[in-house]
Formats: sequence, C-alpha cells, structure tokens
Amino acid sequence: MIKIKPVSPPEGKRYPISERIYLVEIFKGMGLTLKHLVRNLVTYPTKNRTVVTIQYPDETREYSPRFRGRHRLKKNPDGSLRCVACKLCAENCPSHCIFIEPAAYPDPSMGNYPKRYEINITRCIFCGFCVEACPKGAIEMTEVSEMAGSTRAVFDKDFLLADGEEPAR
Amino acid sequence: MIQAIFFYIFAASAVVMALVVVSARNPIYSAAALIGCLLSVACIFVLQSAHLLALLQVLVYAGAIMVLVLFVLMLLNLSRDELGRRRITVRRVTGVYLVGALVTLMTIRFTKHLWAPAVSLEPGFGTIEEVGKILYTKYLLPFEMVSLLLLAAIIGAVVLTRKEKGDGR
Amino acid sequence: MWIDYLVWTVQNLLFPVVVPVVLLTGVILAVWIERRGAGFIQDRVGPNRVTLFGFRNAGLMQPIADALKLLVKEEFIPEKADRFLFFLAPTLSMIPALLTFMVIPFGDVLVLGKYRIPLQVADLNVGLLFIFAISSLGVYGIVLGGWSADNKYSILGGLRSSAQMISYEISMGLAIIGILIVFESVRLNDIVRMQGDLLFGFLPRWGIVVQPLGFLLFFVAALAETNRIPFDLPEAEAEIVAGYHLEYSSFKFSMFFMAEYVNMMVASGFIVSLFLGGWQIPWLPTEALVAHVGPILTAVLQVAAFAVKLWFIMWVFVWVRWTLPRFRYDQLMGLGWRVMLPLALANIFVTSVVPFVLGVY
Ligand code: SF4
Ligand code: SF4
Repeated sequence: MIKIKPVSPPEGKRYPISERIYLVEIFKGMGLTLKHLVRNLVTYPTKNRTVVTIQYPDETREYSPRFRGRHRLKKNPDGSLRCVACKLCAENCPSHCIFIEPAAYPDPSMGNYPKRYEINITRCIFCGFCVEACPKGAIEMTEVSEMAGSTRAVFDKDFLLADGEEPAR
Repeated sequence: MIQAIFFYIFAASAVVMALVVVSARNPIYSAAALIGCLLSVACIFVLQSAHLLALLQVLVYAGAIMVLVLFVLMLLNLSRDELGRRRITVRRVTGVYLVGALVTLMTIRFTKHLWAPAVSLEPGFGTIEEVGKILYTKYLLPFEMVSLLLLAAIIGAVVLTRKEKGDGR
Repeated sequence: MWIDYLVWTVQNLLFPVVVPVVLLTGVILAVWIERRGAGFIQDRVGPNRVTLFGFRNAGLMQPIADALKLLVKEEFIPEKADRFLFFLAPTLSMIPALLTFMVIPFGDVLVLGKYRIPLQVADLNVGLLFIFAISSLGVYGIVLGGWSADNKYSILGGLRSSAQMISYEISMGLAIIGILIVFESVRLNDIVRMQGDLLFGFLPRWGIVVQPLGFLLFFVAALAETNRIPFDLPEAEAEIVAGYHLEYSSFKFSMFFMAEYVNMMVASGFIVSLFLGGWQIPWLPTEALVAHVGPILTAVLQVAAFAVKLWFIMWVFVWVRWTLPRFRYDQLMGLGWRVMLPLALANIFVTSVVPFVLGVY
C-alpha cells in the first residue's frame, strides 16, 4: 500500500523544521532505497525474488488465456479444414489484411475451401475480429507472441495450419 | 638545464597565449587563451619554487574568475556581425607602439641580470607556512587593509545589485 | 645499483602510468555499481547479460560493451559548431580529472631497507590546494563543450555548470578549512597520518569524527562539483535534454562520460583522505602492522583499506543518485549561498574557538 503524504503544508503553516532542513527526510529516503536494495539482493538468489524484472528470453510472462497472439487455422477431427472460405473474417478485418481465394471441393456436398488463405501479419492489429466473425470457429489466436523477423512475412495457409491439429490450449 | 628548457617552453606558451588573447576575434577564444596564459605563468611560478603562488593563481584566476568571465561571455554570446570587422585604428597602433617600447625597456633593464648567479633559497621558501608567516607578521597591516578593501567592494556589489523595495520582488 | 634504478622507475615512471590506468579501469566498476545498484534499488535487475567467452559475469562487461559501441558509432559534429573547442572540450574535462588523483595517497610510505617509496604519485607540500586548483579547471571542459556545440541547450548546460561550480567551490573550500585547522597541514599524507590517532583512547581521529559538519558540507559540495544528482543541472536530461554533452557522440561523448566517473573517484578519494582516515586501518597504526606482518603486506592492506573506503563513498554517490530528485536551479543557488556558505563559516568559527574553550592550546 502506498501512503500518500500531502505535498504542501496546511493553510497558513510552514513545514515542520525536520522537513525544512531536508536532512532528516533525505536520510529517510535513503533508508527506503537501501531497504529495497537489501531486500532485492537477499532474495535474488532464492526462489521468491522481489525484483519484478522478467528476464525475457529465459523467462516469459504468463499470458492470460484470452491473449491474442498469432493466428492459427483449425482442422476438423478428420483432418479437413474447418474454414469454408466464407470471407466473413476478411470482411470484418479492420485492416484488410486477410486474403482468401476460395475454391470448391470436387464433391459439391462438401462446399468450399480456401485455396489460398493469407494473413499479412505486418498489417494485422491483433484485434481478434476475424475470430469473432468466423461462423465455423475455424480461426483462433494462439499465445505465440514472438513473430519478429527480418522479412515482411505474409503468413500463408500452410504456416497458419502448421500447429493446427489440436487446440493449443 | 631541464628547468631552463621547461622555463622556455612555458614562457613561450605564455607569450603565445597572451598574443592570442589580444588578437583573437572571438572573445571566448580570448578567454580560453587567457586561461592557458595563466596556467603557463603558474607553471613558471612552480619552476621558481613558488608553489603556493602557482596554485593560488590556478585556483583563483584560472579556476574561478575566468569561469565568471566565460559565464558572462556565454550569456552575451556575441555573433560574428556584432563583433565587427578587424580594423586598424589609432588606438591599436598606439597600443602596439607602447607594448614595443615596454618590451624594449624591459629587455635593456633585465639583460644586466641575465647571467647573474642564481640566488639560493632558504628552505621552506614558497610553502604555505612561510608565506603565511610573512603575511601575518611583516605584511600584516597591508594584508588586513586589502581585506577591508575587498569587503567594501563586496558590500558595494551587494548594494548595487539589490533591487529597491517594491521593485518586483 | 640496479635496485636504485628499479625504485626510481617505480616511483617516477610506473606510478604516473599505473594510477590513471587503474582509474580508467575503475570506471568499469563504477558504471557497473551504478547500473546494477540502480537496478536493485528500483526493484529491477540491471544489465546482466553481456558474456565474456560465454560466461555470464553479472554484467561486469557491460561497460566495455558500451564503450565499444560508442567507439564505432558515428561521429557527429554540428555544422555550426566551433570545431577547435568542440574537439578540445572532452580532453579538457578528462585531464584535470586524471591529474587530481596524483596527489592522493593510497598507502603509507613504504619503507624497504633504505628505500622510502611514497605510495602516491606526487607528495606535494600543497597537496590539498593542488586538488582544488586542478579540479576547478575541470569545469572548462563542460563550459567550452557546451558553448562550442552551438546549441541552446548545451549553452544552458554550460552556463549552469559554471555558476554551480563557482557557488559550491566556495563552500567546499571553506568546509575543509576546519580540517586544516584540526590537522594543521596541507600535505595530504600528513593529514591521513594524523587520522590514525585515537580520540579518548578508542575513537579513531577521523575527519568525520572531529568535523561532522565539515564532512556533510564537503560531501554535498562534492556532489555538486561532480555534477551528480541532485546537482546534475548541467545535464538535466528532463529540462535541457542532456545539457553540455547534448551534441557529443561517439568517442568524445565517452570521454565526458568517463570523466564524470573519474571525477567521482577523485572526489571519493579526496573525501576518504580528508574525512575517513585515508589508508588508515582503524586501530592498526602502520608501525604495529609493519612489526607484525612486514612492510609489503602492510602496504597491500593499506591500499586495500583505501580502496574499500573509496568504493564505499562511490556507492554512497550512487545511492544518493537513485534516491533524490534533482534540485530546481533557484533551490540549488539558495542552498549553496544561503545555507552552505553560512554553515561553512560557522563551522570554521566553531572549529577555531572550541579548542580555546576546551583549553587544548
Ligand atoms: S486480428 Fe483483426 S486485424 Fe488481425 S487479421 Fe484478425 S481481424 Fe484482421
Ligand atoms: S470466417 Fe471462418 S470460415 Fe469464413 S473464411 Fe474466415 S476463417 Fe474461413
């Protein structure tokens, strides 16, 4: 709990002498920083560290289950694509970064499938509207947040399907 | 021998710096050269075993007064146009003539002593103890009078810079 | 005799080279302490990832990595900068910083048979004044650097620095007059040797014990002289971006940067010598040590004691920096002239009168 101290003295009064000569307050402040330092140093080698740093590549933050990371296309249990190329996701995408080229299955009863399904990830704002829009639950967002690369990648169907067999979580 | 070499080095640098002081177009350069000149002279003082004098020269003149001079020069920060062009005026010609006359006179006066044997110094010459003793015994009256004079100057400066009551602050 | 030459070489050639090198190496440690200390004070970890031959070393190599990065960076010189002074300024701030340490003793005179090797580069009889005189020149690097860059923020930094130096140098000078009165010498090694005595039989006669107010004033003035928070107004990154070194990049910037840390070390060495007993190990005078462990080990122990104290003060510098906010400029001037100066004068007065009252003289 952070205690808040009024910054200006009460109306018509001066600060108490202990605050006007700075020194007492300075030593108090230095005591506070020393307390933090010692506490952090002592607990650093132990399990329950008090430093709040997450040393990123070694440790990662726990993401919430609702975290919106990289997209993933899902498959049916029989291995076929869930997506029916209805383009609702592309319509709803505020940054127009989904490109879908539909194609029909040879068997007319099976309807359409996306021949190409590409997400221009450099334009994506990770709003999740595509997931909301999908009537088939065919697209979802994973916890993967490490997408840095040295090229302007467009995630194509194979890539989006790569870990698509089972839901990631 | 080594002393003489160092003396000529510092003497030459002092003279060169002094020339820069009067000839530089930019007052900042003049000030910087004056600092260099003072330092060279301080080095010459050291060679003459007047360590205290040398250090006071560096401390007071090079270290404090010149900082104030630079402060004022930077505050004004004159541009090239404000400085004006280099002209030959009567005053300058007279100045050069007078300096030449002075140098000639000094040369005539001092060459007599040029080959005089070095005076041996009593031990402790130039140390703080010796200078202090002389200052507080033999030269006590002038010393105190100078300090009174300086006090008067300080008070004068305070009076001059003080604003009248009801003058803003 | 070859041993004569050896001693001469150590004294006149080795020390003047080794001490600046040690100081510059110390910058690495200083930066490390600063950054890791800051980290832990702020509940962070601080830089800890740079490896040396694949070994993590708690970030000790980070300053070296930074220095290398700075060296290969683009050297930028503003178009309208005054090139001569712009190049000169970083050197001007570095040289006084390195020179000043030359008179600080880091051990008692080492007596080996007939040889007496003072553990200090130059044992001047005006050592204290030398430090003052030379360190007062350090401000020119900042002032001229700020002016030559032709940038309004830099000029402001330079102006602030010059006014600040003048104001605090006076308090600093007056603060040590008390020390001079107590120890009756301006030779630093004498001052340190005097601090080996005991007061009332048990208390080391350190400067901080006999001159607590002087220590406080001196410490505050030293913070101001080294441009450390809470007195880092010449570079105040929040108001005038980076002040005097705003336009500096690459190697010239690293010169300024290193000069700041060397200055801190000099100030710490100075504080340690004047107020914390220098190389004295409390309750263990040199004679006793020499009698028991021999001269060489004594010297080593004393240098170690000096180093420990010096780095403790360095740590206090860091500690203060990460605790206090920066002063406003009028507060800075007010503190310097209205508080520190009268206190310093009062300190001199009390120090001169008390011995008479107590009948010491
Ligand atoms: S998350 Fe938003 S921006 Fe990204 S593809 Fe889906 S709808 Fe478009
Ligand atoms: S909304 Fe769903 S089913 Fe329709 S195209 Fe997009 S991913 Fe395929």
